[in-house]
Amino acid sequence: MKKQEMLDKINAAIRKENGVPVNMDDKLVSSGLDSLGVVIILLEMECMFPATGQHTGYLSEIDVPNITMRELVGKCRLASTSPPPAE
Amino acid sequence: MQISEYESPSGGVATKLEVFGGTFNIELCTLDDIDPHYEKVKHWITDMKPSAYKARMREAVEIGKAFKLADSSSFLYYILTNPQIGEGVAYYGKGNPLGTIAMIIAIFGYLDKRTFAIRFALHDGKSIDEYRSIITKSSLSRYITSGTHVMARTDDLIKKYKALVEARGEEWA
Repeated sequence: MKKQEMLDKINAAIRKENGVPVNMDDKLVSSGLDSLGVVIILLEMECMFPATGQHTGYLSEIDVPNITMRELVGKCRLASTSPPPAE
Repeated sequence: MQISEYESPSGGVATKLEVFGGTFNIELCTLDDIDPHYEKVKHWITDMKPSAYKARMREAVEIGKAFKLADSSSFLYYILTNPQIGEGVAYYGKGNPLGTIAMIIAIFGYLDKRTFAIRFALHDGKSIDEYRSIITKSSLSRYITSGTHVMARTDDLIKKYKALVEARGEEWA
């Protein structure tokens, strides 16, 4: 999935939480979501972009006040496209 | 997700909810909680006397509509204006959003299924932004244009959280 498509999916989830859609270079907090909304979005992102083994819980320790959407989308992309660890 | 009951140290039955990889204990607030909880929210209450605000908190405790996480990192007090509609009295959960979601699941998914909506009249020091994810879109638009109260549909919140729990592969208890 392309990065812009991923951002569009995230923005759809942000709209559902009454937040404001954001651009790649905006911070997540620019969406205006409250703290519950941010948690819900992060939980939804882990479902939308499921991680392979070694990246499980990849959004649990992000710097919420400072992370940009570009960084966030990058993390989702890396986590969901990395090959699973070798057996 | 798992839900169970236990005897609360402060008396009464409390609820233990295991969800989103965490364990959350939800208890009824007691009269002893009112002062410390008021201290956490008082800077937002600039348009009401402390005694009047605490009297509403006391009313919520007395009718059994005041709940908290055991560590008091989140709490919700409400009273009933109609058998199925509540009026928010005190709502706090900024420091523990995941716990706040768990508390909402326990209250409106299990302990009080009758109340399906809660109205919040925002105090002068409160921002609408702190309510965005729990209120309805229509009440958000209405608030922006007219500054009236906002409404949380608790039945819709439970549906949303249920979908989220199930999407994560957990079974709704």
